[in-house]
Amino acid sequence: MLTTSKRAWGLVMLLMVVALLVGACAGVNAPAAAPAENGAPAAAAFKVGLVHPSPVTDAWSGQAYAAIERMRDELGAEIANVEVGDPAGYEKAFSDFASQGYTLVIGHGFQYQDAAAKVSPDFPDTYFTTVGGDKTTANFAPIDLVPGYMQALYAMGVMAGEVSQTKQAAGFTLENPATKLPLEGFRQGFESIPGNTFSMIVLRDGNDVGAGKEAALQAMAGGADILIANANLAGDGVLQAVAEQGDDTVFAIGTIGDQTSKAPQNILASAPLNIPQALFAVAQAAKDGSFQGNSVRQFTVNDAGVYPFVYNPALAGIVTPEMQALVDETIAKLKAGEITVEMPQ
Amino acid sequence: MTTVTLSRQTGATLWRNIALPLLAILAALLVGALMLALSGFDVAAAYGALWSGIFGNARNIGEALLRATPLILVGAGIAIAFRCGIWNIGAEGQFYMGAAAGAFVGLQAGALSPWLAIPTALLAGALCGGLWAAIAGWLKVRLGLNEVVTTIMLNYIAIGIVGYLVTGPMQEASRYNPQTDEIAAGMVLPRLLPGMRVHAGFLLALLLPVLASILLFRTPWGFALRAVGYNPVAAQHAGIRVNRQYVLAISLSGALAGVAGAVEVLGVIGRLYENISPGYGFTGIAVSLLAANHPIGVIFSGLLFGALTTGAELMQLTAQIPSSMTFILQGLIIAFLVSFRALQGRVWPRG
Repeated sequence: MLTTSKRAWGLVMLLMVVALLVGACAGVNAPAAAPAENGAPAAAAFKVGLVHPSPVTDAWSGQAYAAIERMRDELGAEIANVEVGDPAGYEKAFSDFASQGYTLVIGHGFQYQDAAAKVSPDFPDTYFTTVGGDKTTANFAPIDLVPGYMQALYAMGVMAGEVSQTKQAAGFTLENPATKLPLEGFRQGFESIPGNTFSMIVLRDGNDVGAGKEAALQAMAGGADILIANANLAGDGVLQAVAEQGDDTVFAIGTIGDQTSKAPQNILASAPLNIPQALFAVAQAAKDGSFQGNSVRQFTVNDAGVYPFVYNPALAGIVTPEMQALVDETIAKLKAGEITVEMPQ
Repeated sequence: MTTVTLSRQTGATLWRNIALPLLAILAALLVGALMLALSGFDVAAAYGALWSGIFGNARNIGEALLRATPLILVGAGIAIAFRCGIWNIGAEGQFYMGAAAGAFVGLQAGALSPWLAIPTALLAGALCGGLWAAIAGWLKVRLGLNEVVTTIMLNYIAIGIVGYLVTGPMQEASRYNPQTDEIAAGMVLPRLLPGMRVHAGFLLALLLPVLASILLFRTPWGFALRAVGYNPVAAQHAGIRVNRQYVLAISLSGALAGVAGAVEVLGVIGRLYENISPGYGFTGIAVSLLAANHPIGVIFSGLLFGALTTGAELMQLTAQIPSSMTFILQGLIIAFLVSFRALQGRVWPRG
């Protein structure tokens, strides 16, 4: 027993000594590293920092990480990212990046806007942006993807309006403007064809797949043959209902990402939202000095690549090249300002 | 287990409760260094960033205190429940209920004097967190439902309620994002020192654990509570109303988590939205266990976890060390501490 305890304590002591040594090394090196950081020329390098809420293996944060990787590869940016899910840490993350001479700091989510608005006045040489939000300062401009998405879905609405036999479409969304407005764009496109009617169903819970499915079944029973959902997971329920009804005369339009695989026989096309492309555009502006503060950076279809369309090859008989040309023509008119999508109310 | 001694802790026990955690931290840093080195990272740069992220300047020290505040409050609450032998896994939900109550008062009471409005908001947080926890206590003593299950379920419900509030009745006036409006400037907790973001909530994080400790170790009520935790059957036979102790302990535990929620809303965030807690309710369990469920010890373990969080962020930012390293270090500290305590039991027998 005694030898066991001696050996055990010996082990613990050894652990402690080695750990102390490592700790000491770290402590000694710390001051040496700090001046090197501070001494680096702040203005010379193009540096982009990303603050994101979840691990970069997660779909949402992964998008932003992919964007900064592209900034590194194509714009020669020095990049770094920090995961901060803790609201108490937002301001510090922004000021840590800015105080190290970063050119652009991105907050990947609307929840970062308060911190960016507070920190940005202290660092006039750094640009700040957040994905979503409406606050601004001289060097902080959040990005707003909704206006362009309304236009993109307008074009999808025009196409769906041509495809529809019953001349009725239903949209499923949540009580939240950023989610709801894009479908208003779809409504205007769909109803631009005389006789067409679109009805909007607002779901209570974006995680309730069953409620989405139920609402979709009702809409189909009511005669809608085109369905579109922008309602998080509840939207998946809508696509499930479409995929399972077994009728090849009811179709859906995918949103946010390429949703073809969720109803391969029924999704005419998807309208993904290319957030990395939008962030890349902001980084280009930060690099060439054309970054505009004091305003929300609103994206439209004129911003190349942010609002692509993915057509379902399985339904090429319905979404014919002529149909795709109609979409392109609509987008061209939107770009030229010949068609405008109205904000409701 | 030395953690359930009924008498006040002796000097030797206290020493061991300080020395063993320090050893565990050192051992964890050592193993962490090995893992970093094996993954091809520059250990000196990483730990250098960790160090300067905590102690590099006054601002960083303030940040560590700021991040420790909710952890200390939640951890002290959990310590009370654990001392009574009731497993409160629901501090996360209690935190959310407290945050919702704090935000509600913060939004409504902006016109009142801060001297009245801020304490009201904090009390509302404590009350909501406490009542939310009391549900699990009541279910345990009335229906015999296991509090581990009910508190976890209540977490989901509380998070759901906050989600409903910020997309429904409490959503901002512009109804653009799922969040409330900002609380009035007068409702924001004052900062303690210039150049640091640490706010008056930190004083609560120092005061409340001390009060909890006095309650636990210097009052008959605390004695009864710990007696139930040590042996409920014996406590029952000694005339202690065991069920009442359970409900009181978990309510008090929830009240502290609720205060933490209100403090975060009033001190840092300034409004309510979903996901305002990165899991404080669960980290709080580790904070409490690291401190051997002693509320005073929780102040130190909370500071450690707060410091690790801020330090690790700078480590991510300057040395590109993945954020998971923080969790690995925290996990290692606890794993080492548990092993050291087991080892100590063999080496240094009680009595």
